[in-house]
Amino acid sequence: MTFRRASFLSLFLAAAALFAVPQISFAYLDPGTGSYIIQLIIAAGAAGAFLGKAFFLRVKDFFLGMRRKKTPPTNPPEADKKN
Amino acid sequence: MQEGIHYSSFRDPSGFVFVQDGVLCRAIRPSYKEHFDLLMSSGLYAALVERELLVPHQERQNSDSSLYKVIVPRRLPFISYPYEWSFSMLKDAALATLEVQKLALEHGMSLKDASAYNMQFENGKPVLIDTLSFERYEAGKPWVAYRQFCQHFLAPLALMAKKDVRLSQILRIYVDGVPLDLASSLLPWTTYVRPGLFSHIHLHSKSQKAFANKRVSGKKYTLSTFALKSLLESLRSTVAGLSWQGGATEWADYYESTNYSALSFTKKAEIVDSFLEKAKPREVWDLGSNNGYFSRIATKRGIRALAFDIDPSAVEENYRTVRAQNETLLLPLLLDLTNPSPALGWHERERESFAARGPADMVFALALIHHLSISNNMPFESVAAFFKDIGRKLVIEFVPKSDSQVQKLLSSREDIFTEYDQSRFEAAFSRLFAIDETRPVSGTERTLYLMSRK
Repeated sequence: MTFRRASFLSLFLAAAALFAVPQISFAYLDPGTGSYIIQLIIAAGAAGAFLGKAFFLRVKDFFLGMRRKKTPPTNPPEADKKN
Repeated sequence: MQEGIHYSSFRDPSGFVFVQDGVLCRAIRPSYKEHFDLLMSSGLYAALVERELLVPHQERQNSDSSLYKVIVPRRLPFISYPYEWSFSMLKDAALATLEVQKLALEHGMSLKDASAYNMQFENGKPVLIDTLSFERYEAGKPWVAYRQFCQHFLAPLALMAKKDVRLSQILRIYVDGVPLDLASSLLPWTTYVRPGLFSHIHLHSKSQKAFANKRVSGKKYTLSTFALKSLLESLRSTVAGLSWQGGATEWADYYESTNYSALSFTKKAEIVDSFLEKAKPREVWDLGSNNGYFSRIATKRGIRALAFDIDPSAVEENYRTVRAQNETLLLPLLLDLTNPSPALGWHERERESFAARGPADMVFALALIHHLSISNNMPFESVAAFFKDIGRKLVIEFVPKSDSQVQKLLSSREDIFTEYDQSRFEAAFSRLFAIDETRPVSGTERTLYLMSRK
């Protein structure tokens, strides 16, 4: 899938979510239809952002880890000193 | 407190609060049995009480077969309302609510409301007082209290931080929190570029408008637990990201710029302390408390104190000190004495007025009389009647016209206060109070009085 097609699809999904109406179960507090719908969208966005952040951190750690392996530490760890 | 069902206890059908033989109780209806049992058996109740996020309760024998259970929650000494809190107090209450919801989800439950009125300050920290706020979490179900959280906490906090701290008073008008379209229209454009405020307030408000009066279909959309937790984290970081530095407080340098030398100030503190020793009150309402210096003379004696001030910066500074020093006996609150919190809500009985929450054992009115009688033209008789309504004992300071603070008040206006002198002050107060002790503050022209209402 090209980047253009992927962007179009995500926009379409976001627009579809805007017009979707969720089922509201019984509760003494009226959650409000608009509040319910926007909650779904914001929560999806927030979840995506957290996943993206976690993925980015893992990638960052992976490359930083590779760099660390290449450059040996200047001071050997305590355990090595004792041996 | 009046016997019978509490006026504010009618919205949630899970139960109600009532007073019997002077004991505050919470009745639980059979319809809430499943949720209450889960609260207790899931470990959520224990976890919340351990973290001091929920008031603990004890079960009481129940003879009414129409009720599932009756519990007796630990009673709080004073109920305060969000429009009486400083910025950091409302922010801490918001963060505590989210913490409660996070813990609830970990135990298979969820908050079914997020009302700021369900949070109270005990031992200097926010605590949930509504034990029946939880329901079994149904996987996939969005947070039913999301809108309420935004209206009760996020919108007023954003307005206070980004527009003007005095906008907390909007909560006095809107009993169910600030309408989001109002918050959205009042907030500056810069809040549109903050992802949290843009989504939870601006976009949220647009969505409410777009879907107003729309019919609910049977189609079902779900929210994964991960997405719900992400939403809560987004709310938490948005609230945590709001800050208010506190303007230059109106009274910041008050103690430095008054007629008081360091010695006179110490003398005044000693006199107040001796009055406390003599009267031994259980609690003190310190009116016009500034940063709470004199309230702390009471708390050092183990006496609970409420420190009221009209200046949001002073209340904010005082609360930050309470948190920093883990003080448990002092509660700072925002109050305009010339327009105190009225009774509000349905039947004007949901939220109590300032005076209805009294009377206090003792009232401090230190360096206050000139603000009431000269700045606000209140006759001594009227001031005395007000103090008689709200307290049994009174520690009041008379500030004569020759005092530089009074001269400052008179500098920009005509002196129409021919009646403002110490003998008339004593005569007016003597009608309603017995003057137990009179002590001049050495090094000043001021006088401190200890009085008891007749």
